[in-house]
Amino acid sequence: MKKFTLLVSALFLFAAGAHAHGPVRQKVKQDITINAPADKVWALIKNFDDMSWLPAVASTTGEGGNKKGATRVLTLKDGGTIKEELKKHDDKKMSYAYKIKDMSAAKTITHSGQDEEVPVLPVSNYAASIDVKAKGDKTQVIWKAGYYRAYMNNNPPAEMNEEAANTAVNAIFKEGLENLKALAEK
Amino acid sequence: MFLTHVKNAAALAAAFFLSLPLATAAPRAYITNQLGDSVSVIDTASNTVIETIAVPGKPAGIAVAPDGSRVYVTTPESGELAVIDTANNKLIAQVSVSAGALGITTDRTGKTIFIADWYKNIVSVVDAESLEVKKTIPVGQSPSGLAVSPDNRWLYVANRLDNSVSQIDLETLRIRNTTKVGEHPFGLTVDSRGKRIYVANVESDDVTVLGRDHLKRIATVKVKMLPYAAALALEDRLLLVTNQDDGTVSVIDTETLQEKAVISVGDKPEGIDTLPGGRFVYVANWFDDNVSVIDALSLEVIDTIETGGGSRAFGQFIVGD
Repeated sequence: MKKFTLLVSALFLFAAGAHAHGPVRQKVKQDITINAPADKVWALIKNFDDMSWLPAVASTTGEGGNKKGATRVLTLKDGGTIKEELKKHDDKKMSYAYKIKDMSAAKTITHSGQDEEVPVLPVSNYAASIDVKAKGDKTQVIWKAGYYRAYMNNNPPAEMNEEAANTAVNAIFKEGLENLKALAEK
Repeated sequence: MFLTHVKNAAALAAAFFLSLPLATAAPRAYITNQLGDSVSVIDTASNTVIETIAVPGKPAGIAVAPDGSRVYVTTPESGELAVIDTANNKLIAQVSVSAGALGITTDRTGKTIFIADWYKNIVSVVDAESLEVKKTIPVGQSPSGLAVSPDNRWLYVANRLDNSVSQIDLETLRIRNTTKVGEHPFGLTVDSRGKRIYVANVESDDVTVLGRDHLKRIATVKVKMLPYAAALALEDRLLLVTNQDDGTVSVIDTETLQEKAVISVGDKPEGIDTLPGGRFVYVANWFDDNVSVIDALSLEVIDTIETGGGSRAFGQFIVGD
């Protein structure tokens, strides 16, 4: 994990060079309608230290409960880890927002003659929010994220470009929301 | 003599006819849509998009020539300056400036455009006619927001990674003063008398209020999560600040320097600007691809206008009076 932090710092320094272009912030929004009451759906996801509803996650450990500034570490089924921080939690509005603080590397690739570590989620500066809304006796869940591609310098490798980032985030959201629906409608 | 006379008469006639539509037309808001590679033109009388101009290179920063004839847009992906003619809403030029071009403003004469480079830690001084970079001014790390004082004496620069604001003398084009502000200042605005500078600090969730003389810190006002940019309303009595990660706009009373209201807008609000008259404030919502219109008297959102992908409008974007 430390290695990844160093890598990010190194990338940032390199990005500060004369040939850098600004990568453009990307976003993903997905929603799903669930045939279950909103409080039941919210109960499944509201605890920041419990991400068991997301299929890719093997286990979650958390510190700080649902208070702003709380952290959690997601250990993925493939062994990778993602550390996240809670930025906002509103039980009444049934909503929370969080940011990725750190990630382990999924693999190392060679790009432009240099080793590059591809993080488990190929994004950087990732912030997301989940909203649960009552729609009569049904529930709408909206999951949103804003982020940059993993490679902050010019000419990204295919594993770390915008398309890779958008594909990965979309896949997780789709899988997560569909599983949440299945759990809530049980 | 005769020629001059004729020329003047022609100019007068031209000015008369040209001024007719301008005088009757409502101001317009030009909104950069970064992910959509476009600029939406909003007619503020009907609050509808009357035109969408394709602008490649991921348009983000925006500025308006003082006479309203041109809109200047930075396109950070291509490192360019794009120029829109507001008479016909056509993209009339797009020239290379520098790789990290984002923050942009003009001086009060309209002869000079200033563009901050996020990576190179410079402000480029661009001739508005030739569109050539005449000079670069070294500033602090990751310069972002820019604003010129009403008397055209000072250019203010928010140096994001240095947590500071610099005051540049527009006669010498040198830094006269630099002051520490909050953490990661981004957008800034100057009041109509040029006496105060308001700076939104993204990381410390507050606004620093600076005085023009000696760049003294007058106050720090707490707002909500990730304040991004600011605009004044109601003859400078109110300061409105977009809180990007809160989906709100904080309203600060500039006399008491307290937050007096928080207005819910769209998701990830970024650019903010006020119509002439000072009552109606336009906010670009990056995540929701739309613009919220706030009535500064009732402190309510009175309209929401669909624009394009990733609306940012970072800078001044209202044209007309």
